[in-house]
Amino acid sequence: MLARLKATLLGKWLYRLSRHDIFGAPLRWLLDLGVAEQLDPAHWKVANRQHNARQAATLAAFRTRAGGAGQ
Amino acid sequence: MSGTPRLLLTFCDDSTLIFAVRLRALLRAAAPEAEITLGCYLPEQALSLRQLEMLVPEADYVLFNRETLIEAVQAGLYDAVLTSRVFRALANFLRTPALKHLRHRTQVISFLGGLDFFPERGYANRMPCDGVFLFPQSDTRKFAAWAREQAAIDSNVTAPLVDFGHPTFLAPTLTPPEDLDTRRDIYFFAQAISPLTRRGRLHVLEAMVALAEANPDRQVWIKLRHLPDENTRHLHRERHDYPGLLKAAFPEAPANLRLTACPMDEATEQAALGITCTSTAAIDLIREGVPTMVYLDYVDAYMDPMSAAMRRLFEGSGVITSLDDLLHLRTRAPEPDWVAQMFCPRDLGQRVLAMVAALQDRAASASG
Repeated sequence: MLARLKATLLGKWLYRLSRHDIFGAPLRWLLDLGVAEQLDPAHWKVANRQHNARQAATLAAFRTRAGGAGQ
Repeated sequence: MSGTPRLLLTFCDDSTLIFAVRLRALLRAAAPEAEITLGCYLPEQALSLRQLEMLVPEADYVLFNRETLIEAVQAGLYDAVLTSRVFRALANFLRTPALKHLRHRTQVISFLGGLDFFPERGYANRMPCDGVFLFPQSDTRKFAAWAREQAAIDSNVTAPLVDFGHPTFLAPTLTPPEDLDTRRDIYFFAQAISPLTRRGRLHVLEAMVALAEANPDRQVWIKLRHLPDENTRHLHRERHDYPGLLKAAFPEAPANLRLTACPMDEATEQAALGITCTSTAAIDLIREGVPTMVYLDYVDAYMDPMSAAMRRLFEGSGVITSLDDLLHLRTRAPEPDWVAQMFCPRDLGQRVLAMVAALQDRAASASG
């Protein structure tokens, strides 16, 4: 989410402010609190869910074939 | 250029320091008599002691704050400042006509910080500089045209001189490393915020676990950009660090999967294969002739703006790799046309010195 923020003018301003001697630490803490990546609406798009499922399935199939899926 | 070139190379964090050290080596080779100073800019200093000891063991740098940096530029203590980050104080100085026009002041030449995922946003930052080095090659023409337009509509602006290159982006060696056939190690080069999500990073980590399981005769290294307690002053600092994730999710990972925070040069000298998602490490690997994979299809990639941007930059490179190819270690050589666009000739040191001389001539003729 922070990387996405940095793609905006506001994000660039926040990036500079985050290095400020006084405001930097509390700002970083606040932004960390605000990050709720799992709630992002992008996860609900069908294409995105299919993408994730495909990658996970490819990886699982490889580990099964290689005989190492132990996690 | 009259006399011995006096050059200041500024840095404030790991990427700017790597840039400065590499450019210093090129300049020393091009002009052994040059007086080259590394300058640490304290207001944005974000390096740990370990990083400083590793990247600049001689500790031969000087310290600057806003005032001393501007004083040095104003007084012309150096012929040029060479920087991969245009610090706010420096940009403000150069935007002030009375200061920009000042006789005998130091010339300022900026480079990109690394892979520039959103280049159009960097144009305005670099416009006040006296000289600019960019890549890919197509961007030099684009920027030069844009800068001329700006200069035509604003009498306070002078179009910077523009050239192609970056010390990390030197043309790859024509022959692969001599010992490449005997190398066995696989390196994954981590990046702080890409993949962005915990789930995405776990997916990549699981792919490395799978590689280690399938190749018990090889070491699979996760090369950390920095340790978890470093770079904490970055807004885009690592929230889901790989050491923590490995311990939490894969406590019984094979012993041939290991973590390292060794210097990049050491990793590229050991690697039989390098894998990354959006790290500039891909450039280091290609430059050094090491087989390279750029993996962008990780889980939650759609959350990560750097994934799409990396895909744009590496379009046509031939090294963007599917998960299946990655797991089966199927690599492709980079496409020569793409390489010629992205990597600059190895005479960068000479070209930087030539630009410094040209800027001094331009300043001398402008001030009569």
